[in-house]
This record gives sequence, C-alpha cells and structure tokens, in this order.
Amino acid sequence: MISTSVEQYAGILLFLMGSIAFCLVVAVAWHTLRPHRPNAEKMSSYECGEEAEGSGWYGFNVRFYRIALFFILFEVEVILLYPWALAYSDETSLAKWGMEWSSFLLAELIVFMFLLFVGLAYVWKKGYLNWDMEKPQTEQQDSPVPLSLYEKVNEKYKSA
Amino acid sequence: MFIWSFIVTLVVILTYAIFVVYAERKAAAFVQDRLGPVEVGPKGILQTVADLIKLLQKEDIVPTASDKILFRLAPWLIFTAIFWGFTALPWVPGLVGSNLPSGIFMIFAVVSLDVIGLFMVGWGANNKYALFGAVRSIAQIISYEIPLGLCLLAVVTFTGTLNLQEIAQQQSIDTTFHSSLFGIPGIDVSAWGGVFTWNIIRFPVLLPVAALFFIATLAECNRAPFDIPEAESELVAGFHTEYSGFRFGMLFLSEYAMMLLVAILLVFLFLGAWSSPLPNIAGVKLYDWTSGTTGQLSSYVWSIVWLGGKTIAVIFWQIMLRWTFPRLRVDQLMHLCWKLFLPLSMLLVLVSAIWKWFLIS
Repeated sequence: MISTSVEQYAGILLFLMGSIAFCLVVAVAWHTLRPHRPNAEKMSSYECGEEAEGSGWYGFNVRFYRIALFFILFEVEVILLYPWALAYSDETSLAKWGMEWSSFLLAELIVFMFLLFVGLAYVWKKGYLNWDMEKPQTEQQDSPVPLSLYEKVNEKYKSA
Repeated sequence: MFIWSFIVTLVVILTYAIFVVYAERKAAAFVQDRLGPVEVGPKGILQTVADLIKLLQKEDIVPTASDKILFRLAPWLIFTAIFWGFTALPWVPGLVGSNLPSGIFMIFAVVSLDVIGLFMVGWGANNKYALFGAVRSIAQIISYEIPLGLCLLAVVTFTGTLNLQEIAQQQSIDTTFHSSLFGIPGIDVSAWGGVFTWNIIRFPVLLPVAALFFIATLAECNRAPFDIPEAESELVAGFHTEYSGFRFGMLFLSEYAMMLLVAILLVFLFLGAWSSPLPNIAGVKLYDWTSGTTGQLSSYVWSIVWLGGKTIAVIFWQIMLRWTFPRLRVDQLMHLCWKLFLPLSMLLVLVSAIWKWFLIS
C-alpha cells in the first residue's frame, strides 16, 4: 500500500506548485478588480487613529528568545523519537529478536525520556519557564482616604 | 491521480471556508442570542460569498513604513504552507496527494513553515500591534508544537506507521491489525469494527492524548481560548492589523484551512478515520451495512459520509469552544503548555510505550 517511489514526491511538488498557482490566480483577479488610489493618509501605519509613534521595529522581550531556544531543544528530541516509534513495532525486527527487541527499545525510551525530563526540570527549577508579568502599579491617589482603609475593605470582602 | 487529489483539496477547502465562516457566525449568534447574518440569500447563507466579493474589490493598502516585500509575500506564504500540509491527507481510500510513508511527519514539518510567514507578517507590517501579535503567536505555536509532537508520537507508538491511509485502514474492519476490547488482551474485537477499533477506544490511554492533541491544535490555530495573538480588545487584530483586501482574505482562509487540517488529523488519528462507528455485534452487521463493499462506489460514499461527519463534528466543537471559554492570559498560556502539557504528554508517551510492550508480549 505504501510506495516509497519518487512518484510520491511528485505529489508534494504538485501541491506546492498548485497552491502557488492558486495564489497567483487570486492575486491577478484581485489586481484587476481592485481600485488603486493611494494617498499618504491611507498608507500611514495604523495606531488607533493617532500619528504612529516612531517605528514598529521594536526589540522584543528576551523571554521570547528563551521560548524559541527551548522549542529547538525539545522539538529536536521529539523528532528523534519518531524513528524510534516506527522501529518499536517493526515486524521484521520483532520476528528476528522477539521480546528482546521491544524490551531494549522500551529501556531506550525510558532513558531518553528521563534525560528529556531532567532538561525540563532544570529549566523549570531555574525559573526560565515563568512568564514574569509586571505587577500593576497602583498610583498614589490624592485622596483624604488612606490606602490602608481600602486594603482593609479588600481584605474583608476577599472572595473565597 | 495527484491532479485529482489536488483539485479535490482545493475545492473542499474553498467550499468548506465559505460554509464554516457562515456556520461560525451563526453559532456565535446562537450562543449570544442574536440572529447573525440574515440579509444575503435565504437565512444569510450567501453572506460569506458576498464578503469574498467585497474582499476582492478592496484596495491594496501597503503602509509606506512597512517592509514591502515581506508584507506583500507573507499571506501567500502562510496559505501555501498550510495548503501544502494537505498533501498527505487522504480524502477517500486511495485519493491522496502523496502516499508517503512519512505522512504525519510531512504534515507536521510543512505546516510549521507558517511560523515564518507569521513572522514576516509581524515584522513586515512595521506596526506595534502586528509585531506583538506575531511574536505572541509564534511563541504560542512553537510552544504547543512540542506537546502536539509528543501526542502524535503516542499514537505512532501504537500504530507503528506514519502513513495516514494505513492508520485509517488499521481502524477499519478490513485489516490484520489485532485489536482487543479496551486494549486489554482478552476479548478480541477485531471483527466487531465500529467504535471498538477506533484508536481512542482500542487504546484508552489515547483518550487523554486526544484531549491534549485537541487543545494543542486549538493553540496552533490561534483559536479561542488561545487567541491572544489577535486579541481584539488589546491588540486590535494582532498580526493582521495592517492587512486589507485579499491579503487579509488569504490570512483568514489559511486560518480556517488550518482548522480543517487539524480536525481531519484528529479524526484520522483517534476517531477511526472513515470507518463507521457502528459495530458488528452478535449477528447484527451494523458495521457492514454502513460501510459498503470495499472498492465499490458505496464504500466511497460511506467513507465520505463518515469522514465528513466526524470532521464537521470536530469543527463544530472548535467553534462552540470559541464562544464558551474566556481567553487565557499569556502567562497562563505558557504555564499550561510548559508546566502541564509537556510533562503530561511525556508521561503519556511513556505509558503508551509500556502498554504497547504488554500488547507485544
């Protein structure tokens, strides 16, 4: 039923070319139908109707890099497990070695998962998985009522 | 053969998109006690068609400040990446874009390309909302890809194949794959078929795996309750803030195509693909009556009915969830993924492997 012939890769190529062709057709249709009357106001960046403040090309928070790094570490290891899963129920090897084969592979998986888990525990312990949120700052109010009074009320009606 | 598969895929995605957008709006209206679209066509059924025509006539707005090439190219790239993922999905037995031995793996690899498209959208637009939306979206997608990959792995541990047609075949009655009741060696249900040979029932450990898979795919599609990348109330529209016209349409279409892709994957991996849910028990051949003769037209019709029915059910579920749950906060989202789903899915892979070991012995 499964064919490993090159023919199957033609299908992949066809889908790629086909979707590009579809995109081209849509783009051309859109190009012919749409009006084109640009002006400076229309082409300005959107920022809730205000003039855009500076550039949108910000440096973003370092925690995103951290997530990307962990993704690469874990994802590569997960990908390495796919050939393992196929080998685990590989009938020719099972027929040849019997239970030895599956016990060995199971032991391999347990060792691998243990290492993966140690990695996870390490980053967890180090606090790299915490998504630290800034605490909302309560501004000093010019009010005759002292803040401690509010806190007392909050404490009293604290929801369970 | 490939050509047919390609045409079917394209037609299915486009018609599906038209109807599911309508269905989603109607479902939203139902949940919120509104009417939803009613103007265009009977009961508003042509609303999406009208929207599509409107999008085609919309002016192409490329902000002066943006990176023109990235901005123009990105939506097409996202659509191509997701459409490419459909290559390894069979529609009926035998009709598949590419019958690769590494089917799921290929889908998984190709669909990940859409992250690059998302980053092009966010960076190219040169808009703060778009950048924040894109960065959040990428962080979310790549985080949830790890539990997702582990969930797939748990399934592959049992099936021993990555090819979706073979996985579907294993869950039908017409197979040499042995199945016993609830995965406990004893009562042989291989001849019963129906729900008893669905992966989720045959190997009950896959039940939590399916739940994890479903939740992780919701996050992959940026669907609510994981829609912080396009949280309307804080980020305007997230990464597609600056888009208009058909480029926006393409982003929209890819999002819905992704929903379809993951719904079909869920059906293939856990819910018996195109085989009938009704079992053959004690002389009542419900499975045979609702499956047709293999290779005949009737079997194809039945497989379309079952695959379509199950997929629509899953998509309906996705839609209803969107209107039921509040959005997660970004720290809760990451907490859920890294501290709950990741250890849990690792554990489930281990349990699956041990279960399989007992089944082999």
